Amino acid sequence: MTYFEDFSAGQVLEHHRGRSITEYDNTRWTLASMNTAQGHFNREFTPATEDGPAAGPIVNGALVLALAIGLTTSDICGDSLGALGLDEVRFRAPVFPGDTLYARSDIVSLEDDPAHPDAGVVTYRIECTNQHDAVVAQVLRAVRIKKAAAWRDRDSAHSTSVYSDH
Amino acid sequence: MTARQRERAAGRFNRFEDFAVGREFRHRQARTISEAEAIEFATQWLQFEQASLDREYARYLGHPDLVVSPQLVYAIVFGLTVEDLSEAGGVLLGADEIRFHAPVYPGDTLRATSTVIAARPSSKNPNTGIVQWATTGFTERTGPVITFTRSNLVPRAFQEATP
Repeated sequence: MTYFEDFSAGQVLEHHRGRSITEYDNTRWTLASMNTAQGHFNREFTPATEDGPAAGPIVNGALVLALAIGLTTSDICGDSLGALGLDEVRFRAPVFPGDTLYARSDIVSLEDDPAHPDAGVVTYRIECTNQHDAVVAQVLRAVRIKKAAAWRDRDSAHSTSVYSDH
Repeated sequence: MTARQRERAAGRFNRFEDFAVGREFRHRQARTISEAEAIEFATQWLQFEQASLDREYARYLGHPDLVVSPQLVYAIVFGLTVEDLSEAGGVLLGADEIRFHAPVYPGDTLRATSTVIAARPSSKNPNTGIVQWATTGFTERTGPVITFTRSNLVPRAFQEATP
């Protein structure tokens, strides 16, 4: 368990996993999410960028964003009380099938929430890079994280009950 | 885009000129989320949040069921808007003020509406413009579950999407 008290503002986390995105991942989840933009699933259709046509189908931004966040979950929010929001989502370079993404997080702020005294709000900035260390996406994310003072004993009792007799 | 693709696409998608500020869209597709795909999305995209993977843990936190990953909710609500807003084929530039208002559970049905909030020509690529929309995703059960704005490059009318 990672609790609110375990974080400090200014802390930097280099997340240890990477994930390669395949053409199947992109086609399957673009269409599963009702996204009909052919630039993600038609090899002959090249999306327009401000610098001209892309080199080929590019990975759906919603999937790049999901993976950028996913790469951080084990270290930051595996047992969070809920995602609050995302700001300043920016795509700095296209991601192509075959690329491998990594993530790094900077803890920006730790705030109390009067409406939820058992938790705090952790805001962190994610920088997502590819296999060439080029930044592909950035996002500022806010998530509600348990306070140890309110949850540690309950979590321990829950864990004991779930694993008892096994 | 090849000439054949251009011919197929002609007149089918909204272009930069179609996005007057204030224009509203009720996107016609809706999408019911199944438990299987909620778990598959969470595992395939590394959303290792216990409440999205472990029903007993979700109930321990007070939820009636597994919580659908917010990133899947975003991807689907975004996807529902594409046919009306961005299928003409310009890249996504960014999104802002994404807010999650209520948890989504397996079996919920997502719908979306959008409004044009800004439109301007691209300074770098004269065949395109940049359009920003505000989108709301909702379920009949809870009302709004997500709101966000996003910006795309959008090809201008009846022109090749590239210089």
